Amino acid sequence: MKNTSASGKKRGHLYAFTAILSLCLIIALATLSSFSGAVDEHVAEKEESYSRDDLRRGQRLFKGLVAFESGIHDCSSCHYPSRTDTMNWNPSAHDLAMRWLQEDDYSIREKLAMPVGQRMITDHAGMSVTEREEHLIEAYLMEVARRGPGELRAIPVNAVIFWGLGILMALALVDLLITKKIRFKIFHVMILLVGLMVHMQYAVAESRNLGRTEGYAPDQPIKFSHQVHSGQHDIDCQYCHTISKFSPSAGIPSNNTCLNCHNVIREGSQSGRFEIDKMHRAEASGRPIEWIRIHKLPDHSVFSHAQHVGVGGIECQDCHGPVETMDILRQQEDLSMGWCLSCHRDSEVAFLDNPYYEPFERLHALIRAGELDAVTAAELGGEDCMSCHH
Amino acid sequence: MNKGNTRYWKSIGDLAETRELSISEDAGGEEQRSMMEILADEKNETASSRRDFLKWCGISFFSATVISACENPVKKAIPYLTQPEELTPGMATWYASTYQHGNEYCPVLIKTRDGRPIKIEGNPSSALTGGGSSARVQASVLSLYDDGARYHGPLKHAEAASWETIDREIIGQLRNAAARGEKMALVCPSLLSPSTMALIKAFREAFAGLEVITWDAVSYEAIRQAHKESFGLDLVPCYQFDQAELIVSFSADFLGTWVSPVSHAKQYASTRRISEDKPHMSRHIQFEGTLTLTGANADERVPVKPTQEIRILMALYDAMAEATGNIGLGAGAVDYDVQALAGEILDRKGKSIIVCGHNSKECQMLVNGINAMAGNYGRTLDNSAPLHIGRGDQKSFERFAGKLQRGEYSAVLFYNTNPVYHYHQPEMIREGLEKTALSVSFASTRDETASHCTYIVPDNHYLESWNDALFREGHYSLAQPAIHPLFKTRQFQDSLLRWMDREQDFHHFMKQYWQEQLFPKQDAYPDPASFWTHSLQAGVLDTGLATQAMPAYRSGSVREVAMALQQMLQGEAEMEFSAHPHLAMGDGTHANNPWLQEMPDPISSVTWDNYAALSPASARSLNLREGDIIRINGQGEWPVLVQPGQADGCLSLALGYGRTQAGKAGDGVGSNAFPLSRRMAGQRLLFGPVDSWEKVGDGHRFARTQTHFSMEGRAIVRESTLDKYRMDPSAGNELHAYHEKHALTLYPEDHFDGHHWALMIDLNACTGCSTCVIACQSENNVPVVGKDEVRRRRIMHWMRIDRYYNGEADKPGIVFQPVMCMHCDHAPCENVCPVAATMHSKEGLNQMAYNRCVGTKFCINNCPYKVRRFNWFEYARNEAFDYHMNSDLGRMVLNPDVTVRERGVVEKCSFCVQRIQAAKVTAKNERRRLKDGEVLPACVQSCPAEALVFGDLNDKSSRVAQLIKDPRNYHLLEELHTLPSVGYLTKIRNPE
Amino acid sequence: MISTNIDQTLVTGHKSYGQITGELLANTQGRPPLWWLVGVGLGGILLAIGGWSFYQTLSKGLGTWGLTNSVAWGWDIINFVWWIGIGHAGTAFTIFFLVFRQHWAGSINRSAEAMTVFAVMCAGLFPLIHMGRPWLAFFILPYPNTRLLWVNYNSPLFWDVLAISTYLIMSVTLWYLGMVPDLATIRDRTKNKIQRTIYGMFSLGWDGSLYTYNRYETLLKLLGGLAAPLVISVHTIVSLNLAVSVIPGWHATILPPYFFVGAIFSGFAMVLTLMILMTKAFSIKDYITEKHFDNIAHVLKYSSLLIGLAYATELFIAWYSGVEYEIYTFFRARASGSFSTAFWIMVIFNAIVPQVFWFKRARKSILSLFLVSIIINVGMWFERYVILVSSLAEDFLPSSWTGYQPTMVDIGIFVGTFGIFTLGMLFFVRFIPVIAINEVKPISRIGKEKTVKDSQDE
Repeated sequence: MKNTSASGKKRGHLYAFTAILSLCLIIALATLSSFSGAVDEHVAEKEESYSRDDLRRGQRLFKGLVAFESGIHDCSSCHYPSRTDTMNWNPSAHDLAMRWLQEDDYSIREKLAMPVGQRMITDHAGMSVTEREEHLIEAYLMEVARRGPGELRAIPVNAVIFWGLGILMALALVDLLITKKIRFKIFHVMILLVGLMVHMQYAVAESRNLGRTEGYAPDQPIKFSHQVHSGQHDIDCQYCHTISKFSPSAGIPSNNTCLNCHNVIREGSQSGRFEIDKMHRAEASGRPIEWIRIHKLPDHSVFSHAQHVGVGGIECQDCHGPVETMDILRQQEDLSMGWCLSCHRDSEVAFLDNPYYEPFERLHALIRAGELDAVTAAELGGEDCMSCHH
Repeated sequence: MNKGNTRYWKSIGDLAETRELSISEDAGGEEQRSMMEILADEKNETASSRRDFLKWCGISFFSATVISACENPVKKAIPYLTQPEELTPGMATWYASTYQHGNEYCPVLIKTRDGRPIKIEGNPSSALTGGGSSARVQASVLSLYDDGARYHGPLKHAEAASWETIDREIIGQLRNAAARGEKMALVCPSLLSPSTMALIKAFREAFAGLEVITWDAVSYEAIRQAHKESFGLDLVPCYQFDQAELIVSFSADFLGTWVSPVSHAKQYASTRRISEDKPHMSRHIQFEGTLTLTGANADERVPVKPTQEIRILMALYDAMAEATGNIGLGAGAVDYDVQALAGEILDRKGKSIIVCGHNSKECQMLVNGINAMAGNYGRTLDNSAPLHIGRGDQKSFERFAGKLQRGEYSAVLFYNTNPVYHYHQPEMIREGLEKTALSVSFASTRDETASHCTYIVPDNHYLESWNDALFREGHYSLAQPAIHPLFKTRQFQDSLLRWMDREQDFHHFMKQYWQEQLFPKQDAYPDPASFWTHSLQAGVLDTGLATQAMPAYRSGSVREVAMALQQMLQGEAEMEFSAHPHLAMGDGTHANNPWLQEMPDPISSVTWDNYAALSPASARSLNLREGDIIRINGQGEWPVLVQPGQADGCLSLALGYGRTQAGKAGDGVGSNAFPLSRRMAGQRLLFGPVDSWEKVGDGHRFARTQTHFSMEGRAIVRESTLDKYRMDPSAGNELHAYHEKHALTLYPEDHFDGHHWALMIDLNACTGCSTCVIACQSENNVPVVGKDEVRRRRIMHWMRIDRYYNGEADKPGIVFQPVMCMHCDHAPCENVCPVAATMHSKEGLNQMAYNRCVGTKFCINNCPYKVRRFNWFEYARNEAFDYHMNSDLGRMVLNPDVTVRERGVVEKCSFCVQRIQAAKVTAKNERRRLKDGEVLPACVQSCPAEALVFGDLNDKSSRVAQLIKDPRNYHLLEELHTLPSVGYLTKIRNPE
Repeated sequence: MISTNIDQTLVTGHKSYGQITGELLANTQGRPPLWWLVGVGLGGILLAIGGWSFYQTLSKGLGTWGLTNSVAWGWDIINFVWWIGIGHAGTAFTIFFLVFRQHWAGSINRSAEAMTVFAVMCAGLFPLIHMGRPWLAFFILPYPNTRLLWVNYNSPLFWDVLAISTYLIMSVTLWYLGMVPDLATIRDRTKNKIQRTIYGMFSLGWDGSLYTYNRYETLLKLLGGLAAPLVISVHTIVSLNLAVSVIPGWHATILPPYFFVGAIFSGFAMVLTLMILMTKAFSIKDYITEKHFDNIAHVLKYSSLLIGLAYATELFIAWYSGVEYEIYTFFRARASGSFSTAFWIMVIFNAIVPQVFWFKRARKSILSLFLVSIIINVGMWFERYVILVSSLAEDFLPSSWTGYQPTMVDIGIFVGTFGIFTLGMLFFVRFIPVIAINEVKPISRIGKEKTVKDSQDE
């Protein structure tokens, strides 16, 4: 009797504890989420004129739950309110919201009434909104701007498998030692063994990839497509990345490089004027464009484009992958030291052509004697630590 | 971040602010954007390479990897909006400029990376310094980023004020004073800049009643006065040590601090360099009380206290006069064979040079006399190309100080001068400033005088300024800004122009001056515009000299001189003090530079301190021990350092310490020796009797980098004499042949394809000046560790100057030996590293992979040369090491090509592998062989004496390949068969 | 096989097997005595000091130690070598006396082995924390990685890692397996359910049958055979860290045997210290008798002679080689220079003081035994100090000569290892019979019956 009441008491404590803990968690999460979207100062200025009701109705309009008076069904089928991992050429809802916020005389109604550019004219043909609807949409855009571009939510398949197996293993262990419901012990053993192997594999793979960003393809501030420029239009890489042959850095093109062409080409075939406008707006405002860096070497490694592109004559694609096919630029290789080294060990150097290599007399003699076909980078110091680390 | 006063950003988050600033400035209308301004326009600042960006944000690679291990941080890459044409991200841009401070002068090249200066090199086009530099020149780039000590904008009563207010108020007061006919004064040191002097002249005309007082803390006025007496010419002659076969110096530290050490070192080394083709060298005799760098290099060094030294000078004069039939002084006999010396001088007629470091007119007149009798004028001393230094006027400054104290001035302006620290009666200035209505200091960094001024109108750093210089007649050079002003400062000259109500800025003033005054003097460029552009590019301009007849020497009244000197000698005392500018600190202006503070004095190996140096015998007789603290003449307290080689009865003190308003690195380091100086016969003398001293403490611990001074009989520095060398070029180096012959190894011979890098050090040319040490520190991001850590023997310098004594303790021979990583072909460090973090490269370099190092320190132990350094702490971004690497601005000086090492890893000299790699890529890209001398490690490039030669041993025609075959060549500890890639050439002395 | 010829009683007092079991298990039962609690408290304090020092080291860097640019190994490696040396006795006892049939050692084996395990643990700490970046210590292990980097097989430090980890594994295995029968005894005698479960798990289902015993003996002998070379190799390799270098005073071929003898010497001295303390603490005088102490004293005396010989040889060779650096190191730096105090402490404590054991009275007196054993370990510490520091502080170029001063953190870490050792030993004596019951029982009859045949050895 005593025993049960004591344990009941204990259980009660446990429940209370769990409840308090979850409450704390919820509060913490709520507080955090309210801070997460950094409120732009512009937002704060314009915010007062919109009520919560406006926002709700605006959202319904934008997402097509309620039809516009003019019969437009929804904005969100082109202007996605959330992030996607595929190229969406149309400006996203967040893009629009930011544009609206930054430009003082930006009016949705006017934009629809007087579309600029061929793309916009075709896409928005016959569309119009009323003043009230504009107000509601603005209320929603305000919310979108406040929320930020949002995170891409991929399904964490690996995590599900990892934790699922973990739970299964725990159950197997409990059953094996304590509950003993299943008679065939081979069952437990199998689960434990397989689970352990999978977990080990994960651990190895994860620690291998620690700090690696293979496949990294973030959204860029401008929907610049290498596929369009370097693929479709066949522009040479070094046309824009001009310094890669003689500077350690490949050089992210400055805005004026872009404007060399885009002073004339004001409209893209897929994104219309919206993306190209960003460059002109940057030029006008004097704010450089903040690209997101994709290929990042650790801080202690030196990489010279001049050596590889200029001297070695290596194709850009050898390290950066088929850039000319990528709408969204993606990190193709893992950029690990092993990857660097294996290339240094395999790549042949244009040894006989460059007078620089004349002092390598022993190697020249070997080639003349026919004992050596070609010289690899590694044989010329491509494996030396201080070639890359100094 | 104070909005608008800095032109750099700390983090991406701060960028927005900076950006807005530049926009508003752009909108403010720019009449013309000079190249430099575009460069410095930080709205365009690139972060094109994340590596570079992180580098100067100073994030060590550890934090980068760990953070990226946790999550993938978004790194922004912000390209230029409009990329300036001159600038390539990731590559350095060079600008020619000029370093000048007092008598220090050096044409330089400034290396900028992504718009920020990171390294100073000597300008090889200069006929005077020829690519050499000094430690202070090398370190000057760091003071640009001295966040703590530099004024961030104009101040009034120590409160920030706007330029408009300051200008309005100062102009008003100056005009009122001028209108009322009140006295005003502008105090400045002797200036090298001809256009600034023209500007000051114009300024004086604009404000009637303004006196310009020129005053130097360390003065060469006496040389000027003596030449006026001897030749009727108010000048300092050009000293040409390269023409001299016999050099006699009385306390002139011409290789360290006297007149123009960089060019002297170059000239001196050219007479000391010796080879089988040229088996002769100069002979150098030094009389001095203090053991100076120059004295340490002398063939014959006579340690005598200052008064004794003057007696010898007088006796030498008499001996010379007797031998040449002139009137002597009638000085008494001295304990030195002056007859023999006079004979030696006369044997080499016109090929000797006699110099004296005392700022005494009479001494200098004797020196002039001796030089004239030896026929040196027109040969080793050039009056036709005088040096424009030492214009300071002690008497007028004293008058000024008196009047200032009495409150007779209504306005006083201080440019580049700090009398509250430098003058021996600072209270006169301090009291006077309180009585003066308008006191203005143009100091760019905090100083003692500025702290007593009402207005501080900060000058730019020289790397942010336009300027020019005329050091030697006919040898002009230019200074141009390499970065936009980091703070809201304004160039001194621009302030003057502004106050004179001129529209012009100094850049245009100077350009106009050059085109009007200097363009006609040359004929290389046809039009003024291209003349200006090319001069700016080259940095130096040699206009040549107008040929004119030089007046002959006249001895003047020998009796007067003798009487004046006798009066001076009455001050002879048992114990005399002698103060001298410190090799690193100079006159103390750069005391807040932690690189200079931590530069070991090559003589005493002391860092972060000054001291009273006493000879062992004197210390014994005074019953003092090293570390005892004494108070001298009631003026200051110095710890005693027992210094072999000091003259008995001479107590030496370094100037430049004891600053109280310099900044966190310089404040309270040592004591100020300037107040000890005394006035005698119109000049300030830096020596005098020790009237009183008392012991006030003991147990002071010096922060020394070397504590054992004997070579213990080991063949570390090998030396011989000229006679022996002539008979056998391998004299003194017999062991080398022995070890070469007895070298046995089980291993196959090493073979290097392509390059095999090597460094040769000529111990005969090396003066020990330590410029290379600071150059290396600057190039390789070597951290400053502070006094305590140096005491624990943990200095981080990658190269050091070892100094050994030989012979007796009171008259030791001194040798210097630069030691850095030897890059041994059989490196003992390499095979003991368990993780293979240090390996041999295919080019013979001993490589150190910092990111692989786990810090077992086995390599440090197994290095016989002890050149490896361990990062005992995190030196960057660590409150405990609050030097330049702890502030965002200070980290801007870091070289982006060199990793900032994390704590727990070993580092060492890499032969500046980043420079080797860069030169290789350039050569490969240009499809040509690498040229000899194309790769210059920082130490080699900075050396004023060209004592270091770097190159490729596989290139048989290279200079190193030639030198390594020299019979004088040996390797340090070659008996260990480590096969070093660094070779030394034996030191040869010329005792006879 | 060498037959035992010790004509003495190894276990005094006429005891039955049951009595032996009871007496030897006494320490694991009942309430812990006061001295034990005090000891644990003291050990805890020592450990806390060590923890603080450890924290300082990790959070600030190795700069908190007294090392300099020239002396890059100091107390860390001194203490490492010292502890490793102490860690020798346990395995040496078990192995060599097993092989040589020295049955008298049976009653000491267990504690000696425990001492080994804790000493090696203390020693192992130092190579880890003496690294600048201990979190990257795994770089030192050869494992396939994406950097395509391997360790440097030339480096003695890498050999050392392998040697020490192998040695630790082997000594733990030996110690543990040696305990199995005793653990089973406790399991069978205890009434506490939890204790029974835990001891039961660790006794691996021991049933005491002849069959089990047979297998057990075979296993121990096999393991002993395997471990014997390890005892030699581990300290040899530690010495190679120095011997493979170029530094004067380190670069010597005599170092491996010299270090090995030194290790045995200090290990036995430590065993002696601990045994004396244990006989004071527990009523085990009948098992660890004067005879044991006497034997250990003989061993110490002879190893001391060997050590003295090594010292003399080093000096002779330094002179004979004619190498000025070696001569300086041995005759100037060590014998007459900055390190002469430490050098003469080393010589007197290690080579001269133990010679008192030529006198029977010294061997009989517990006090003198205790004092000499402590002196030897102090002396051995100084030996490592002299070898390491004097060579580094004054090597080839006089310009880099420095002194060496340990800091509070250095001292604190050393103190902390005493904490680990003390606590380890205290918990050991509390939970495990300090004398191997199963080893004592077979030898308890030796010397009492006239005819003893080593039948079980065949």
